[in-house]
Amino acid sequence: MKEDILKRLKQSAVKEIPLPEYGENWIHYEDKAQQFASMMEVVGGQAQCVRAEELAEKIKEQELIKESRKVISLVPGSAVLDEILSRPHDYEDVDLAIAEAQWGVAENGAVWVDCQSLPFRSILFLSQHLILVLKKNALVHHMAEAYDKLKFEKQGFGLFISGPSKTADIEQALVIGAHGPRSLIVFLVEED
Amino acid sequence: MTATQLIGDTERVKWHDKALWAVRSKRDTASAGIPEWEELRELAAQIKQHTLSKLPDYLQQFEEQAAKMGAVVHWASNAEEHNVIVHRILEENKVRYVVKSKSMLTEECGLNPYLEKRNIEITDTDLGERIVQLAEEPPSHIVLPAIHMKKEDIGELFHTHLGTPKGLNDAKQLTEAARQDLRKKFLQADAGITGVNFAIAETGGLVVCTNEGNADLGTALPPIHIACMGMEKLLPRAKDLSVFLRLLARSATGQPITTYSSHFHGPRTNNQLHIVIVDNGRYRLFESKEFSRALSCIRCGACMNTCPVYRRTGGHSYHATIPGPIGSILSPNQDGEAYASLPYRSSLCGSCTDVCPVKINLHEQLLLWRREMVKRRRGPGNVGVVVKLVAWGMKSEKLFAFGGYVARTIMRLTPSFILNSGLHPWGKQRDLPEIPKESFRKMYQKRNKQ
Repeated sequence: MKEDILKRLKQSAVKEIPLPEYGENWIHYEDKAQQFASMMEVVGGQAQCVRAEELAEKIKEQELIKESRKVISLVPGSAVLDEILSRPHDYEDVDLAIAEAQWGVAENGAVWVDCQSLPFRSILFLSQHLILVLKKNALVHHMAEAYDKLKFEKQGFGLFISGPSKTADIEQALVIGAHGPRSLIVFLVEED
Repeated sequence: MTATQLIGDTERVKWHDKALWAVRSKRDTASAGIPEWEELRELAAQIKQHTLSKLPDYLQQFEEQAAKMGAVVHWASNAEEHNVIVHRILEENKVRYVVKSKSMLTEECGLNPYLEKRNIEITDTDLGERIVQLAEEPPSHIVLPAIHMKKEDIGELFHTHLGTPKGLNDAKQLTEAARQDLRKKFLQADAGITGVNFAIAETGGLVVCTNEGNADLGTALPPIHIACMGMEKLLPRAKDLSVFLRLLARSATGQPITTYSSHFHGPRTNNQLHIVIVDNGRYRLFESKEFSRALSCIRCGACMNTCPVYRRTGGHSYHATIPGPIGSILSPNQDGEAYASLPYRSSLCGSCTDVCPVKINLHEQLLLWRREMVKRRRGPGNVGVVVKLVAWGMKSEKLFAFGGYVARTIMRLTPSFILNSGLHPWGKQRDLPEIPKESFRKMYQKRNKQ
C-alpha cells in the first residue's frame, strides 16, 4: 500500500544530501563523425557519410535493398515508400526498415530515435535489418550533451540505439541478431 | 547444474573463473577510455545518495508525473502484494500469454511460479533467462544468467525443448533457434512485463536497457505493458541518466552503452502502462545507517565478475536471487536467518568496492554484516572461542612459537586423507601446501647468520 510505504519512509527521515554539480571538462573529440564511426564498428554497426543529395541513391545502392523483399521507408524523400499498416504486428515480415534518427553520440555510437513520427515503433525491432539516417551536424560528444537536447514533456517513446541487436548469453560468444535487427547502418548526412 | 556440481569439476571452475575475469577485463578497458570515469562514479554515488535522502518526495513526484503521462501507478509493500497486483491486471484484461524481459525484481518476488499456478503462460525473453527458464534453474548471474552453462548443455536443452538437431552446439545457430521460437511468443503475447533500470521523478518516465531488444519487442506489440520496479530505482532528473548510462554498460560488460536504452513516457496510444513500485523490505535498508548505500546499486554485476569467491563458486552457491558481493549484502536484509552465512563468503579483498560504479563500500558492508550476525548469534559458532585462544597465544612470544611448532608437526604427520576429510570442506577440491619444517623466524635467523 502506498500510504504504508511512504509513511515508513518518512518516519526514518534522513538528512538531505545535496545534488552534486556536473563537471565541464568532459571528453571531447576533434572529429566527432570519425569517433562515431569507429564506435559504430565496435558495437557491430556501420556508419557512412553521405551528401544530402546523394542519400536516396546511396540507399538504393545497398546490397541489403537488392536482397530485401519488403522494405519500409519512413524517411521523407527517400526512394522507397511503403504503405502504412494497421497493427504493430503487421511489420513482422519486413526485411529492411529505414527511419530517421535525431541525435548521435560520438562517445558510444548511440543514436537517439524519437518514435513519435513512426506509425508503430515495432518497425524498428521487427525488421530484419535497419538503416537510420542522421544529420551529421546532429552529432554530440557525449551523453550529457545529448540529454541537454532531449525533451520529455509529452507522452511518448524514444530510445538510444547502439548497433544491431546482439547477445553473448551463450558462453560469452557475441552473436549479432538476437531478437531485433541483424544489421544497422547509420547514414550521416552532410548538408551544404 | 548445482553449485556442488560446478565446484566438483575443476576444469569447469577454471573455465567459469576465466569467463568472468574476461568480462572484468573488458570493463577495465572500457572505463579506461573515459578520462572522467572517476568523476562519473563520484557523481553517480552522490546523485543516488541525494535521491535516497529525499526518496518519499521523489516517489510522489514520480507518481504524479507518470500519471500525467497516462501510466497507472501501483504500490506493493511486499512480494505477495506485487504478485497479486500483476495478476489482477492480467486477469482483468483476460491475458493468457505474457512475455517478460529481464527483471531481477520479479525473480525476487517469485512472479513466474505465481502466474503459472494461475494458468498464465509467462515466457522469459532474454536469451540467458530463457535458457535457465527451460533448464528450470534460477539465473546464476544478474547480467549473464546462464554464464554457468556450456554451449553443449544449452544444445542439449534446445534439442529437448526447441527441437534443434542433437549435438548442435554453435552459439550462433542456437541463438537463431531461440530467436525463431521467441518471435512467435512476442507476436502471440497479450501483455509484456519488464523490469526498470531507472525511473525519472521529474518526467515520470522509465528507462529499460537491453542488448537483445527483447524489452522493446515485448512492449511494442501487446497492448499492455507492466513495469515492475524496486522503489530505489529513481533518479531526480532526465539529465542524470547521462551519468548512469555512461557507467552501466561499461561496468557490466565493457560495452560503451547497451544496444537499446529505451525511454517510456506513458503507454502507446490507446494502450495501457502499469508501473508497480515495490518495497519488499527495502525500507529496512533505507532506515539503516550502515547499509543504506546498498540501495544505490544499479545491478551491473561488476562486483560479481571481479569477486574471487563468486568466480570460483558460481551464482548458485549463494542460494539467493542476487548472488555475489552485493547479493550477500541485500539478501541478509531480506531474510537474516536463511542468508546468515553469506557475509562470510568473501575474502574482504575489496575488489568489488574498487569496481562498483556507484561506489558502494561493499567489502566494508560485508564486514559490518558479520558484526551484525555475531550480535544476532548467527555467526559461525566457534569463531569467538578461536579468536580468544589466538589472542591469548599471540600475547606471548614463547607461546606463539610453541603453538606454531605444534601445528606444523601435527599437520606434517597427519595423513592427507584425514586432513582433507569431510570434516574439512576446504580440502574437497584442493590440497594444503607442503608444511615447512621450520618457522619463518627460524629461517630468517639462519639467513642473517650466513
